Amino acid sequence: MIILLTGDDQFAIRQELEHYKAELDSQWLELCYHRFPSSALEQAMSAARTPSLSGGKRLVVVEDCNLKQWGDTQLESLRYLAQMPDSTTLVFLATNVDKRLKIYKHLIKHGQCFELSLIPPWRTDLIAEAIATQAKQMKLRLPKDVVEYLAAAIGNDMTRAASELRKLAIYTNGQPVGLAEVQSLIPCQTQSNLQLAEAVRNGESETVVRLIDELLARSEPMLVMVATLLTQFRTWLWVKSAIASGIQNNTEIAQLCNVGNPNRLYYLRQEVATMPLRTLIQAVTKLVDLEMSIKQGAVQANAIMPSLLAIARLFQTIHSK
Amino acid sequence: MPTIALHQKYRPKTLAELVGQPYVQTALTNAINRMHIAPAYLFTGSRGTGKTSTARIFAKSLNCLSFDGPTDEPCGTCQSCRSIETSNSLDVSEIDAASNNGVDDARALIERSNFAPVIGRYRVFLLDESHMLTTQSQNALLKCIEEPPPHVVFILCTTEVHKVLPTIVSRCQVFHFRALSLQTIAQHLQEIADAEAIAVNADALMAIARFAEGGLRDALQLLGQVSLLGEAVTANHVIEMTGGVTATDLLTVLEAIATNDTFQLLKLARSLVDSGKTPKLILSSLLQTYRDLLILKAAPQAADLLTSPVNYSQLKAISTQWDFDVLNQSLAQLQKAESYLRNTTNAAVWLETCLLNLMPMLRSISFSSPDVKQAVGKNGHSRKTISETASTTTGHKPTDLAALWQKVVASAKPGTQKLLTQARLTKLQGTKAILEVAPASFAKFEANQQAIARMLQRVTHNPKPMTVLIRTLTASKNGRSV
Repeated sequence: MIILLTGDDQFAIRQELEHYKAELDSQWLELCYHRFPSSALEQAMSAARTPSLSGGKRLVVVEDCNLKQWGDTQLESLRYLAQMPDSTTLVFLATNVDKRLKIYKHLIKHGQCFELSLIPPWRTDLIAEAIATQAKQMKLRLPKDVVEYLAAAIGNDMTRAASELRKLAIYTNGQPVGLAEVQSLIPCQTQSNLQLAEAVRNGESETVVRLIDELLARSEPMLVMVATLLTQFRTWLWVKSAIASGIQNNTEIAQLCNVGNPNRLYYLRQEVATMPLRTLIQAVTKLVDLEMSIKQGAVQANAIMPSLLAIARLFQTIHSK
Repeated sequence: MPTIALHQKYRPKTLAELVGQPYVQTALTNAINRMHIAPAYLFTGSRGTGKTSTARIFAKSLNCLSFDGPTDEPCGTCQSCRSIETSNSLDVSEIDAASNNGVDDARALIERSNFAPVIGRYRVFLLDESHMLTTQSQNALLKCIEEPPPHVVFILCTTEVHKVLPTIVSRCQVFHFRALSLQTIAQHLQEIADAEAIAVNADALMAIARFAEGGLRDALQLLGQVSLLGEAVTANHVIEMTGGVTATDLLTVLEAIATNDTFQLLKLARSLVDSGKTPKLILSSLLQTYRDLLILKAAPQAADLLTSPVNYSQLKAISTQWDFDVLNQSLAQLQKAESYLRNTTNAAVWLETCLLNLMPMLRSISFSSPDVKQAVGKNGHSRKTISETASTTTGHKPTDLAALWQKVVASAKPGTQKLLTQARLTKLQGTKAILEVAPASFAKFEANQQAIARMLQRVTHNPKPMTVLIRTLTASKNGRSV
């Protein structure tokens, strides 16, 4: 059996390999399970052609295959694919393949190709679903808000999702778990940074002070905080100015403002509705100044706190009106 | 008997003794009790939060010989525990990744990982400062960390998790150690001071905790240092010891600034420098105090986050007489001065000028005048523009009006849009608006006055009905009529 696994979801690929490995005779694992780098294709092929000693199955994995760079020598090595014993499973791992390649066509003639790609990062609903399924497999009962939080915190990295869920399972020990605990155990800096942007926008000085303190306690680099804020405020500025200049179409605005998902415009519109353009410009200017001063060596909370409070104050005067 | 530093003497010996990390504690204890040991752990957090201590405890817990299996309370007396303590255990290798950061070191480590443990149950590799590993060596370790032999546990400790390859991070169980709160540190210090019979008052403990910035090791070092003074330790002792500026000094400086007392301020600066405080230190203490004042001003409920040595009630009293923008400007001034200080050889002079510049008499604005405050809040930060902008804030800026009128035009029916673009909104105040139109179309606008007023009201979200005055275009002296 010849299998070509492509795609960037390392976690799924590993699970697939585990699945093949489970079919082997565990007593003879050393003798019937082999991994080769793609440079050792010749050895891999000879291992694959040798019938298994124990009479059971044999698994040969060739890693990091870059089919594009494979030439005639490799094709030569692969010429015995047809004569491989049935008991052998030969797996090629590749991140991506070009289906027009001669070598791909040759492999496909004798075997199958499976594509295991990651969920795109913006499909948070699918990610949440995947996390919920994984949690269920671990017999971990998570409330809906926790699953959503985890999807936002972890993203589409399923390896990390698995290890975080395992950690959660150990922590909860079968007990129900709340969002606050999960947030402490699996902190999501990006989300806290976005909360910070939100607090600044709403002019909530106290929340701003507390969030900065919290982020610094988790040793979040200040530049990262400022960069996130800057991105957020710049997006708001672009959207606001695009709307102000009379562009109505969401898709068009999204394209202009580098917003990946046009549906996000619905929320962005609501957010910028109460924000005057002038204040946004001032906020962005101050943030750029702040970034500059941090890069020039201003240290500690002394640098970031006053600037953010001043920006929060710009928005405060608007809300109090 | 040799003296042992406090932070070593009071290093936690079991997971239960760990200070200020409840979630990490619970998770790791459960992991040991339920025998769910992950192949690799990554402990991250700022310095002095207990990463290495936890890693050692965990290693001891896994290998303690006094029990049949891993335990959450290692005995500390068996051979395995003692050898881990003195870091000569055969099974637990504590590797300083900062000095063993090459690919060859990583390869040697991988080779060693294949051997079975000698006396314990697990072979534990404790990689301290793992962010110092080179990318190549991290990549070399990747395979081993992903699928180590069943008896191997990796524990990576780092202060800078963003420097560790994401591929490594995603293969480890990550535990975040958060910086300890002031209260937690002060409480722990109190317990140790009691145990060691060190006479120290609560204010001094708070001062130590503030200095430590969330790191328990720094705090304990300092406590050990001040305990040698041989008398009852006060907050001032602590501040003197750390080379900081005491609360009393800071208060007199602030008072001199507030009362415009130039001579007093100069004298204070001289005496502070003479007493051995560097100008940089004086400035950063002031900076901290101003920051606290700003926090008090902006978020009075967040008083537990204050960091300067001046206590709450005094700060509160000062903060009432300064207003936000003055504080903010002063802070900007101090920050600027701090960066200048780095490039100058004559720091004392810079300090003096900076302090003098903080005095209110050198600013054009007075304290706590509400209309100035509003002007600054709305309109930028530079001091010079304040007097100009204060007069214009009552109305709208011309650019705003143009944008607003654009919106009105956009909201109109397509047929009338062309007509409306001929007009210009020149003034909008409350419910009154003034429109300027060319004499030719004056009559048309005059006839539709009500409709325009309604459109304007809709666009500005004004709750009250508006009145619109229509004027014919007259050129004024600057080409723009008001």
